[in-house]
Amino acid sequence: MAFEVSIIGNPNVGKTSLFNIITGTRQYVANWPGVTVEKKIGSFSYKGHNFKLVDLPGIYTLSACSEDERVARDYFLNESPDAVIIVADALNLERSMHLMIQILEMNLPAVLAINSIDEAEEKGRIINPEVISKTFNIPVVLTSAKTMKGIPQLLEAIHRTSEQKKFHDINFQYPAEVNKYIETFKSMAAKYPSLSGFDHEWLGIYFLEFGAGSIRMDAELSQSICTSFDMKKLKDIYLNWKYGLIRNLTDMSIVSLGRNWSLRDVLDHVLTHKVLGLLIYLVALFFVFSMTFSIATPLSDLLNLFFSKLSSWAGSVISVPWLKSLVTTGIIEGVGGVLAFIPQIFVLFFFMGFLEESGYLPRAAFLVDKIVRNFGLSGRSFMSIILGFGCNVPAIMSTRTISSTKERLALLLSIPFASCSARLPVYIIIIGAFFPKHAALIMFLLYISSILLVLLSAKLLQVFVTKTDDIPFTIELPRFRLPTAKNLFLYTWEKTEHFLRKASGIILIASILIWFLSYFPSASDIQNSFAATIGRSFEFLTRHLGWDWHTNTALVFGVAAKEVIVSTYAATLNTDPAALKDALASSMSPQSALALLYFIMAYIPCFATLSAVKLETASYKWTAFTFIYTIFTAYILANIVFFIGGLIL
Amino acid sequence: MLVPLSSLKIGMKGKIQSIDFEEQIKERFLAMGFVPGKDIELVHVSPFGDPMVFLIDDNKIMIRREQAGKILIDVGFLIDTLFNIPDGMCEVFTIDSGMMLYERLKSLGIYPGITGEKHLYKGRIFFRTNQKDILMGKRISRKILCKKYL
Amino acid sequence: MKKNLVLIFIMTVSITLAFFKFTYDIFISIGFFTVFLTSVYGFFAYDPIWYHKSAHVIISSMIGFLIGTYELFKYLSSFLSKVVDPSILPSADLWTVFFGILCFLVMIYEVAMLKKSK
Repeated sequence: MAFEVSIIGNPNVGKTSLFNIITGTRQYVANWPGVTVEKKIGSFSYKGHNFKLVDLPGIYTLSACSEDERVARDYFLNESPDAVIIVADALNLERSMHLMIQILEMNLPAVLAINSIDEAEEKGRIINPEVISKTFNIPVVLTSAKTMKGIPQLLEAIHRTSEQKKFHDINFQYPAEVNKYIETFKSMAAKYPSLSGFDHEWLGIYFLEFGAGSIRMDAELSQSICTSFDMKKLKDIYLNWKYGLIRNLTDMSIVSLGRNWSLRDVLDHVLTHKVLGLLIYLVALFFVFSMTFSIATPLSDLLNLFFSKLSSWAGSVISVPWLKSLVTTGIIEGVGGVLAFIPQIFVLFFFMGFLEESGYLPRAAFLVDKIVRNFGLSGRSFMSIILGFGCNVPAIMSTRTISSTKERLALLLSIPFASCSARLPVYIIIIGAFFPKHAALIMFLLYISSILLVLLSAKLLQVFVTKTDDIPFTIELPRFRLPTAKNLFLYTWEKTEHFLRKASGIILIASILIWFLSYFPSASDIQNSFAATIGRSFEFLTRHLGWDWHTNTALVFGVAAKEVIVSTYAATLNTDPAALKDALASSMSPQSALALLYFIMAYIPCFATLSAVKLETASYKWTAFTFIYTIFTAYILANIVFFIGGLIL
Repeated sequence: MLVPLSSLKIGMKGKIQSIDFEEQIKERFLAMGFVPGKDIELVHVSPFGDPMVFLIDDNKIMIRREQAGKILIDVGFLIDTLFNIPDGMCEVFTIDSGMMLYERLKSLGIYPGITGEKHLYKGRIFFRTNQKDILMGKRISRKILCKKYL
Repeated sequence: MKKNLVLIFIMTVSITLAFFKFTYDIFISIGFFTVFLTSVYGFFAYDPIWYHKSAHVIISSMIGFLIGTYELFKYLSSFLSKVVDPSILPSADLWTVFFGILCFLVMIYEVAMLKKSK
């Protein structure tokens, strides 16, 4: 038989780990329709039956004021899962019960998994699962995602619950006033056919707890309810009862509290320190980048070598000249050039995953939150900005977990201004050609300008992007845990593969297009290609900056991938890389070069980044916006710099 | 005594009394563990004073000072610098300094756990323990954190 | 006691390495300087919390260990570079790697001690 079950729990309880253990690699990521919330679906089989496991977002409550919560609540209302696995944290049992009670009130077939039992045991905390199990008549399993304890029992419980297909109606012993309210509500709601699909008892409680804004109900009904009852007082009575119940259950379930400190407190002692904490954060970031470039660069070079070998082989096999050029230069070298930096993306995601899974990121966000608040961002966003200096792609993809839509969008659209590592070779060549004596200073200036540009852009965009939401920045500092290799791998792989699939489409098309523009109309003469013509056509805009068609063409090609700027220059100036510096130096003035540097820093992000933007915003509108916004800003910036440069240089 | 959560000093504990937000945000705080009646303690403060991290049960939750200002706590004791704390009996809680000052104060009979009486004489701060009555300079009294039961 | 000795050891070795590796690799230098500062705070600052010194020992040795890992990986991946450019000669700074291993042992030991004592 086939069953559909779902898994839900607070953030940081290990829900994802359990999901990974149960489904292994049989999982894929999609999106809930209409929102940017991630939907993970996996499958597993047990005793001959097939199970589909839906991963619901990590939430604290079903109140539906954030997208995450709404998605979960609507899932429960619209689908009827055969079982709902509620994951609780053994060291945080009381808080996990809040969500559990909400789900039980929906009369869903629940299975409670009290996870991280290994950590509890290590601290000496003993939990008795029977209390909750007997009170609500649901299976309760003590599990540990790390040691795999309890997993077989969990699977068995899921199976049993799914097969039973019983309508779980738990009789909560509400206080008298609440019962009276429920009865009245039920009789009133019965008159509304639009509400016939809902369980009226649940609807009454939900309305009481969360108010009219949280669920669509006839205005007439909600008005009459509100006039017949003192909702505020009722709600207090209800909440008091609920927290009393939770308190009692927890007290009875925890047989022994155990040690009252954890390693987390020890580590936090230093990590949140005024001075040391910040310093360590900077070193941690520095570490991530250093590791990335020392591990990934050799791999990347290897890939480049592979692609050039492949290209030569293809060249030797194909004889039709234009086809040969298309396949070698256009496709293999074009796409290969981007694929070659997959190692960087993979390693960056790996370390980012490590920081996230280990629990360190919230500490980092905590340290810098105040500073970035001036730009309308939160501490969490800072991490994404820094990642952007390695590569815009993982940075943009990392914005997914930022809860404020306004902040996320503004940040996402500003990250392209972060000077990624691909721009570095271009800076080096140009700075080397024009400012050999002050190289370090100019470089430093560029990077500082880049950071400022990102921050200012984020601030500016937030003024225009009007989707307001104001969930206060309140996050938990979870316990530290050593991420398991499996989780890390799945996390990194999922992100990298997702990008690979989606991006290869646009990059392939773009590479072919660029090849076409530079090959035609005359194969070997780049000076007269379409691309050069396009470059010339922009001269009216760039002449006053001192840029001629060589530069313009290089910039056009740089849209594919910034490193391409250098190779295009080499091609159009007809020199080999060694003589490029001198050739460049004689083609324009230092003032133009400085303006050019700033233009390169800010203008249109590479195709890989554009694809990432499309992926994360799920809209062509924002991708097009990025295109126009960046080039517009870059142009203005270049002009400003040219002007100032004229005064100084 | 009721004080806003944002006025707590590191190490100070209290009981959550009330949460003063609009319904939706209040619900979020409740769900995260800010339940009236629960004990809460300030454990970390960010380098710039904001945000703050509180401990409720086994949870460390970070919230901004602005929001913390709207949560009322019932405290059993005040923690403040010797400089600020109201006159009267109080207990030395911690010394915010390096090893040198700590040792010096210790030799004078002032160390965490000691109870003494703060009083002013001619505008200067004195701290009277059962051994002696010591004159505390402004700088030093700002480094000694004291606990005063209410 | 023992913790103070460990802190002094870490302090001295880390600042020495930080100084000498300045031209070799700026990350290693800055990293060891951070280790130095962390252990200095642990030794000189007073904090009533019972795990104060332990915390600084653990964190400073953790960073030392990470720096050692970095150097090791740099060395291993240079073998990969050899495939592309055979003239490359892989080399690693043994002092860094060795200190990294030491730090790892210190960290593990300190965590175990912590768990046992309370």
